[in-house]
Amino acid sequence: MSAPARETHGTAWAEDAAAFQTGAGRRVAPWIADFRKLGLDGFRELGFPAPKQEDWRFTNIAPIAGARFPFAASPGPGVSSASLAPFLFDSPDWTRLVFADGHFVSSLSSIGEWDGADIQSLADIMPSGHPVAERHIGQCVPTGTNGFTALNAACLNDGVYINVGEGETVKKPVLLVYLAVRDEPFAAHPRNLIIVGDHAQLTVVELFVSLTGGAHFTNALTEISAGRRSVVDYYRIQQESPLAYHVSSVGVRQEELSSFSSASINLGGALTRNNLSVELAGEACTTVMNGLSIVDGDRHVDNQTALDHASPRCESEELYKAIVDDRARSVFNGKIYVRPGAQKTDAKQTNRNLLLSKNATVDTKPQLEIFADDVKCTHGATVGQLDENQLFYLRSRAMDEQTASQLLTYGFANDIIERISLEPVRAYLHRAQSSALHTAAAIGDLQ
Amino acid sequence: MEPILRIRNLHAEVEGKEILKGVDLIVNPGEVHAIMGPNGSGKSTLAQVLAGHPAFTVTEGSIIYKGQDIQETAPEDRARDGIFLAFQYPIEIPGVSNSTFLRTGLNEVRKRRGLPELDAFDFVELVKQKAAMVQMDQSLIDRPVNEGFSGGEKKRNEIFQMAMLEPSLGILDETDSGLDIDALRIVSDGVNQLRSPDRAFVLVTHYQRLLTYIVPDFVHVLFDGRIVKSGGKDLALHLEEYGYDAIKQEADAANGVSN
Repeated sequence: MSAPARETHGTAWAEDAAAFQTGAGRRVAPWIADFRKLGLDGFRELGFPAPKQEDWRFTNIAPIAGARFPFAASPGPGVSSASLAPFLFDSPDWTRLVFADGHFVSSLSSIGEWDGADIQSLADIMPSGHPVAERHIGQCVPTGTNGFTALNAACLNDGVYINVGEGETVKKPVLLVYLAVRDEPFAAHPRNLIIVGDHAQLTVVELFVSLTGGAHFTNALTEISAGRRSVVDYYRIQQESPLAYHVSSVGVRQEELSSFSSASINLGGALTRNNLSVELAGEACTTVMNGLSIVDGDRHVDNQTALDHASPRCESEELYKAIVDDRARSVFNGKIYVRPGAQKTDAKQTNRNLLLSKNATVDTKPQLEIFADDVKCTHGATVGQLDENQLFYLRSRAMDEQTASQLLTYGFANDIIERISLEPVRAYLHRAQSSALHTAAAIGDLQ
Repeated sequence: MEPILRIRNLHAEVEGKEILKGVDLIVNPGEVHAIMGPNGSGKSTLAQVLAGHPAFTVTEGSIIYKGQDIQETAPEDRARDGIFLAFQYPIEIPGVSNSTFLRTGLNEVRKRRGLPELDAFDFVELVKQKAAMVQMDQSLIDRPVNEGFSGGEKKRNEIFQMAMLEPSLGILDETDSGLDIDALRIVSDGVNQLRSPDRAFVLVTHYQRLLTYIVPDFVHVLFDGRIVKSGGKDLALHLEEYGYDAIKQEADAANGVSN
């Protein structure tokens, strides 16, 4: 067997991770040390994914593998409540955990009284034994999935631990803010472990933002275990700098009659790769997966979703949209597996892409593998420009061509945002998408 | 009195196919004109051409609106100057609320009329008042434009928009199609409330039924891209009774076509 190319092997990254593990940091319990070691061994074996691997064919991660983003040993300087203020969704009463350059910042965070859940920074549970976390970590996103998940484990440093008790409803959303603060290049590998008990309810919002325009690398990982009859809403908003590299791995396991609803909004980053996989382990679950990406310039976004209908009578609905301008590229790959015996599965997948420039590129690939006979599975993908008849309709109502185009483009994206049930998140995203689309503020304000 | 609309020898084509073959029509303020005709006669094309749909090319003749030739005028400028087309098939715009859509358009029209933009409060008041005219459910205002609307709700929405924009010339393209009798009466009532001495309407319709509710001053029969017969409201009743066949034969005879 020939040796993998050096830039995908990531030798330097492995050295950095090894140095991180042996370096002076907070003392961690053996289960964490073991988990990190498992990650490092995995990464040394796997290296970074190579373009010849089918799932990575359209996204070349060489810019990450070939770069050196050192681990940030501490939060960058100068982060204050003023710099955080724009990212709180005008909801100061929400529980929030703020991370700067990958480190929990307790002074900017607000974790109230027991609200039905044990909520802590992951770093806080790492010094001692923790049977629950120990049992769950690496379950929904196996460490050996790929080089990024292994690297995340190898560099396990901080993130959030949420455990919602059986039958508890966490009334206020839990907001997780990941700020990139420092100017110089760095890497952060935040990891979230979210356990939602039977009959419990939780809403989580993850927000990734850069306070400067610098290059950095985020390798985020979230595991969500949704108990029987639980209801989990999960929103993920990525607004990092146009020079940032962002890779995420989100794994969800649903027990019977649970409901999981997600929206993945991607407005930032030079290169973004999101992996979302949901396992419908129990019967009669419902799953909603919505996604919106807005890319321009030379930016690249890749959304890979995998939905594993492993049990009967589950319903899933997936709608991912992308607006692609200039020379940007958007990739979508939606896998749906229907396992033998997963009868009465009802799965619907849709991918819609709006091309605003002739040099923009879209690759879309539905991938359905069905091994049960009594199922309903539909999929559809479209790639196109603004619709002539819609444009004329708006112009016939006195809007000039530019305003009409902007409003239609805005509407194309807003269709996803309007599916989000949290009003403060919608309001935030109306503004954020206006800015991403360079739309006249007036249009966003009207919503 | 200057006509609102004067169409002279209008020829128009779509994708190289001539649809309108010399239409002449004069519409004065306060008048309601019905354009009737069999399927494929060019009725909807005439409506779209008047509104400026870019898919159609005017190859000959002129459209004079309020004294100005509008052949080169963009659809949005026609709308700002007071031409309104109620679509036969209203378009769905996902992600754009009815109110955003209307407020953006209304403010463009107001700007052209030298009026200030409406603030949110006044806009809501106006919406309430105009929605009541067509008994439109208020909840439809915040929904995406026409998305998930029933056929009747879409047509009401068109007339509601017309009421909001207060045009000088309202062109209604098959507004009656797909409406049940109750909805037809409500929509017609809405149009009748908008009738005024300085506003004119062109109703494009296949059936006479709409014209019992919106009584026209003139009825024209469009056949094969030309107006072949004009008359008063009784012409519509005549057509209802005898169909278009007699008109077709007359037109063919006039053109020297023998059967």
